[in-house]
Amino acid sequence: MEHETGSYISFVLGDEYFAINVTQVLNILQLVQITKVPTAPDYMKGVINLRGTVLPIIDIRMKFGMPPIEYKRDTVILVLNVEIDGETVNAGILVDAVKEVFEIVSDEILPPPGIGSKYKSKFIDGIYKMNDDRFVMLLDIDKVFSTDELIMMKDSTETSESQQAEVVE
Amino acid sequence: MDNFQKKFLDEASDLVSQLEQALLTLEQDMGNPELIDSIFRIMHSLKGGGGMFGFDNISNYTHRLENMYDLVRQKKLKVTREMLDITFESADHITSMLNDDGSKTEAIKQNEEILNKRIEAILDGDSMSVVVEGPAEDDNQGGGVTSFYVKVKPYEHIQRNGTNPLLLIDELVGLGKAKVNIFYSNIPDFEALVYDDTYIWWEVILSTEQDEDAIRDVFIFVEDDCEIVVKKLAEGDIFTFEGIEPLLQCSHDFPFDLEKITKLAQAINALEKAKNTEAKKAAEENKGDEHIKKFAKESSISGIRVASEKIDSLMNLVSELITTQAGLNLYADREKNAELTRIAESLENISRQLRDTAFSITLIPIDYLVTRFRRLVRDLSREVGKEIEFEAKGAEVELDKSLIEGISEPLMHILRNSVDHGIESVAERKAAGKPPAGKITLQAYYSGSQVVIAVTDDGQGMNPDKIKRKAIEKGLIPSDAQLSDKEAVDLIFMPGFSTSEKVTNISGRGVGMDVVKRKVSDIRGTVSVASEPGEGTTITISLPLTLSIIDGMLVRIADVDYIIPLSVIDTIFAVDHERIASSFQNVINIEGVQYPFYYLRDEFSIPGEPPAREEIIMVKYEDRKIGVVVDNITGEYQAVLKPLGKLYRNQEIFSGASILGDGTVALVLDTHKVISKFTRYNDI
Repeated sequence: MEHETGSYISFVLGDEYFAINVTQVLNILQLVQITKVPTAPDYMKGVINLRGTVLPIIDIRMKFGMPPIEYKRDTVILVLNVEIDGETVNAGILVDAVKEVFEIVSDEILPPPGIGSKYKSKFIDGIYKMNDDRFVMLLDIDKVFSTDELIMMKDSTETSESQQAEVVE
Repeated sequence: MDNFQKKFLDEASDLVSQLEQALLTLEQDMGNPELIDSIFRIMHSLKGGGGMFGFDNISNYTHRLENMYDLVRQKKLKVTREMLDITFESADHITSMLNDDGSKTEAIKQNEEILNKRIEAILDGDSMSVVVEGPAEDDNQGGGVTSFYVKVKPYEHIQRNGTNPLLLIDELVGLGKAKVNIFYSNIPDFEALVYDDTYIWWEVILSTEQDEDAIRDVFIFVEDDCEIVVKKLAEGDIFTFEGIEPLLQCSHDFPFDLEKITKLAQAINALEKAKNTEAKKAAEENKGDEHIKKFAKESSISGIRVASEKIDSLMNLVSELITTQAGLNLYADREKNAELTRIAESLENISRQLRDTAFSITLIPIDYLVTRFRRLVRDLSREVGKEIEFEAKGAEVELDKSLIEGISEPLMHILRNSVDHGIESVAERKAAGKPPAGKITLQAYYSGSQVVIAVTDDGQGMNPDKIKRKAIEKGLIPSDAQLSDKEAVDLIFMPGFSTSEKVTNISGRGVGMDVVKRKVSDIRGTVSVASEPGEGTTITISLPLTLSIIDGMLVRIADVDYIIPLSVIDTIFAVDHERIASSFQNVINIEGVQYPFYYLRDEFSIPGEPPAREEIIMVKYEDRKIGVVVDNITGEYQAVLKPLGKLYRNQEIFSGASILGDGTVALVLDTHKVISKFTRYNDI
């Protein structure tokens, strides 16, 4: 019965694969000069000009507790349509590379991992096993943007420390 | 709520503000039929729309008002103050019904009952104030002219008692237009002639506005001395009747052919009558048409409603176009291709016009606020028992819609102050030799790239000494402070200052002019006061023309561009980095003056080597000058302000961003916030 399909776009952060529903992706941009906004948290990289509007850029790797992004040939900006506190906002995330767009039938999505997993399950809609046996985490990007906390919870003491560092501007 | 209902609500609140405007004008010109008509029409639209979209409460209520104004229209009721008061309150009542989310239904109902009773009282009392109907319409068509045949045949002896019949004829002819036929035929042969006998007689065709009695009055003293015949010939001026002329030829001794004249005149009269009835009918139809035309005209002038989001997105597209245009120009310059340059130039021309038109769409005339202000002054002045005239000049001056929103509250507060503190009571004014009615004038005008709005009252003005005393009492200034009168008056903008001795429910709400100043500076405006004791006070607000374009100074720190609004910049000095690095407590001495300053590289935690020579920009902060240090200055720049967005909502030191010609983003600094954010010591 559950044969709803959805298109997802997959991308790489560090050595892990993530995916976002394409309905939330507006655009993929080549890296451009980012204007840093002083006094903002470090993971907020700054703003760019997206066809006349000012688009905030987030280093999603830092948000996930990874080291800051290094700008390489494949680095791109995914322009997303996210909902923050009931308001639709456009924002860009920096990713190491974009992989592919693929279709998923909803009953093939595995439930998010429970205890012991690397990322907090509330930010993960589910996990999908690709043809090459890779696992892709399907992100609930609205939740990622709606929180100031860090996403990773591998080590609780480490997380709370870096979380504090995050909050301090 | 469905779309149509929303649309109705929009329209209804428009109608209510139209209603208020019409009422305010009617108050000045009681009984102006056009205004009464338009009020009636507004009621009618509200009733119709309310019924159609399920707002039965509004429909029912306006129905009663409509009835009242219908009676006024039919001249069965006269406009009274009470009626205007009721209608004003009804406007409020309707607004609260429109905005009711169900929570206030009870209160609204109670209010409505009271209003209904008052309306009933007016309707019941209508016999008291019945308007005397004008005189019954004259059925005398053709401008009330009637044509008569008059025969004057004096008896022979008429001259014996001193009457000169010629004078009578003269008097008769003087009543209107006349043709006179004279008859000599009775004159005897010379031998038989008696010198004081009268032999000649006359026939007169007369068209006059007078009636038969007036004609007979001419002969009132000679009734027994002559034969007088007066016959009505026709309605209207017989001399204008077609075909009658030959019949009215005068030749002595040939009498008018009365029979023919009468017949023709009657025929023409009958024809006229038929025509008139038709014309009357047509006129009535036309009247209806005119109403429709007038209404159609009004609705076509008022333009179309556009959601503000659409305008915002139009503006975004336009500024995107401008930025792209700048890119195209750069490219065309490099290519040195004549054809390309020509196209780029003509495109630039078009984009500039498009930009100007698009910006003008976002502008709203100040008039939009004036009705509300007029109402406010009216209500407040009644509340405090003062007589105040409110005049608005330059209400056609246009402001950006976001500025209109931002300026409304400060202006209301200023007006409240003027009503409450500025204008004296009637008795005080009389004692001071002023006219009993105070006057508050709101004047708006353009001044360069600024819009100035000045509120002037002819009240008691401000007493600098009193203000100084108060400020010392409140500990706002030291007791030995030496202040000029101007400086003293400016104290009213200090937080915590309020001279009102008793707290009234109008202006003594605990917020003072400091709030006004803050709100105005929130929209990048300035406010100043000028006051002459005994003469009055003027409060002047200057605003940028639009919020979305600012004149700024483009500066650079490391590799990022920043824009500082020109309006806050006082002076700029170039200084060696050495002097800044070696300064104590962030205070620098320039030309003998000590200035506190902020080193933005440090405050923004920007890494890297600073240049050897830096620029220190003195910005106005409250009434002092404070420096901010940047690497270098690029030049003046007209920036289209863009919001930084929700994600950067905590970075309030930036009021937005702007896209530069090369497509990069510059951040617009709010120096006010920069200074208050980085202030570590209270003494700065």
